[in-house]
Formats: sequence, structure tokens, C-alpha cells
Amino acid sequence: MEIIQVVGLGLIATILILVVKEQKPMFAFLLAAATGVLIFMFLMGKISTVISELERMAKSSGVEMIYLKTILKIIGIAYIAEFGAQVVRDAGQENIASKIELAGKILIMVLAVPIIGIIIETVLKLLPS
Amino acid sequence: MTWLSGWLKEVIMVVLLATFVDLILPSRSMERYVKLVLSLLILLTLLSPLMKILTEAADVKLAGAFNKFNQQTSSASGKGGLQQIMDQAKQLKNQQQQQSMEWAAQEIAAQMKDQIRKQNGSNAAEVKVVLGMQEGNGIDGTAAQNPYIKGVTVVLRQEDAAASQNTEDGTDSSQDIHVEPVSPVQVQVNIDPTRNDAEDNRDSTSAKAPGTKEQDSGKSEEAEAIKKMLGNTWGIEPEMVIVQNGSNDSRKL
Repeated sequence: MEIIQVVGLGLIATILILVVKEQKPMFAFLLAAATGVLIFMFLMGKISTVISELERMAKSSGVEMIYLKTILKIIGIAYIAEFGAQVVRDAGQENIASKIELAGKILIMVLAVPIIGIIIETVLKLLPS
Repeated sequence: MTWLSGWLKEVIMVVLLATFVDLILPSRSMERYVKLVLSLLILLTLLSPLMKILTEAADVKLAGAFNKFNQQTSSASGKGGLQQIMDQAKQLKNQQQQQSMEWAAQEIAAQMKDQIRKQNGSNAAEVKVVLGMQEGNGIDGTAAQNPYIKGVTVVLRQEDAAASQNTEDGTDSSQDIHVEPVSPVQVQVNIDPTRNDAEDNRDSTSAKAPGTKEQDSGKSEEAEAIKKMLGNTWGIEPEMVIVQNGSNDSRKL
């Protein structure tokens, strides 16, 4: 029934924002940001259960933990960057939002660098020198 | 066959995880990048048996690479910078301490040289002082290090040593000319070894140069005098003082 809570929160926040927006656009933005943070926080607990379950599965099936960690890092970076970018975008700062997304993308690419390095090294070792 | 089943399990799990991650990704904008990393991971898993043959385990390597990377980024950004700064400070402090110790050692050596010259007129060609650090308590109760004289090496100049020996022992000066200059008397006494060691050394050196026994004894007397003098004035054990004869052919035992 959590979805009802979330949707209710969202609806109330939307109505309030609509009411306030005419008089004080500033407060409307603050309200939107606070609602976003609240929903995000609410989902944190759920995500943690999912992640712990994933970890358990990975452990039981013998997947290397470093792979799982990499994957989880990717999810985390993607979510946080997305959330921040949306909040900023709501405030009308399209530029900063795109910069945040760029940062997220680059950080994900950074995670890929060691993997690429190892793969290339292996391939080069395969080739006769 | 166990490795095959393990590998298959791993591949299946990684593919499932990747699909799952793809599903829960928040936005399309990140999709391409995330997909690239995930496909690389799957490739790595597929290649892992090959890598086990060729190189070390992939996951160990990956962890090492990540560690290196984290260290790099942490050193670049402010994260963990405090530790780095502290390390640098420690290094600088050590450097400074070493420099000041060297300087102090030089000063002490100069003073000792003067004293030796005053005492028996012989010019000490070289006085080397080695300072050590002793763990102790500082004034403010914190652990501090107190410098102490670890060892003193006195190298006597050949001619001067011989000349001073003349004045002291009263042997005739014609001996100077005939005596082979190569007769290093080395009284080497370290801090730790017992006296027996030193006497062994002395015995061996005198045994090696039997023709110059008289001179040896004279010089060792002088050496003893220098040692005693230095020990009294500087408050160090006479055993710590090493007196070597002849700057050119002084040899280490």
C-alpha cells in the first residue's frame, strides 16, 4: 500500500504547488523539491532490501562481488544523477541539469575504464607478440 | 566439469543482474552508458576462464585497478587529503630532523677535532660523528626523540700522528723515514660488541703488521687517550669512539 502513500503525497504536493504557484513561485519550487526528496527517501528503504537480496543471490551463485559492486555503483550513480538533474530542471535551470547528467555519465564511464583495461590486456595477451 | 558449471552460473547471474539493472534504470539518457558498462562486465565474465589461464584472476585485478583509481581520485580531490597532508608533514619533519641532525653532527665533529688537537697536538684528519635518535618523553609528555651520539670515528692523519707519537713517546725521528706508511691501526669498537671483539680486532691488525708493532702500540696508546678524552668531555662511552690511523689507507674491518 505504499504506492498509495506515494501517489497521495504527490497529488497533495501538486495541488499545493498549483495553488501557491500564482502567488509565490519560489515556494512552489521548494515544495516540489521537498516532495521529490521525500519520495526518494521513502524509496531508499525499498531499494536497500532489493540490493541486499541481489547480494545474497550473487553470493550464493558465486558471482564475483566486484562485479556486483560495479553494477550497484552504476545504479546508484544513475539514480542520484537523475534525481538531482530533475530537481534542478524543475527549477528551470536546464543548463545545470544537463551538467549533472554529464557528470553522471562520466562517472559511469569511469567505472568502465578498469574493465576495458583488463579486457584489452587479455586480448593483447592472446595475440602473438 | 565443476569449473564449467561455475562459469555458466556466473554468466547467467551477471546477465540476469544486467537485465535487472537495465530495467530499473531511471532514465533513458543514461541508458547507453550503463549498457556499455554492463556489456563490458558480461564480456569480462565470459572471458574469465581464458583470463584465468593467461593471467591472474580477473576480479582480483579489477579490484586492484579500482583501488588504484580510487587512490588517484582521492589524491586529486580533497577526499582523504588530510591523511595525505599529514603524511607529507611527517615526511617533511623527518627530513628536517635529519638535516638538523647532520648539522649537529658536523658541529660536534668540529669541536671534537679542536679538542683532539689541543690535547695531543695531532691533527685529526677527520672526525665523523653519527647521531642516533632515542625514543623518550618530551617536555610536554608526548613521545619525543632525544638525539644521542651513536658513534665517533676519528681518522688520524698519517704524518701528524707519527709526529705526535714522536713527541709523546720520545722515539727517534729517523724511524719515521724507514717505517712503512701503510700500517693502519684500527681500533674499531662498536656499541654493541663486547670488548673481546675489539681486542680480537686489535690482535689481528697487529698480527698482520708485525714489523710495526712498536708504532702500533704507540698509536693505540694515543687512540686510547683520544678515546678517553672524548669520552670524558662528551659523556659518551669510550667504546663508541673509533680511532683510525691514516686517512689514505684506513680500512674497514
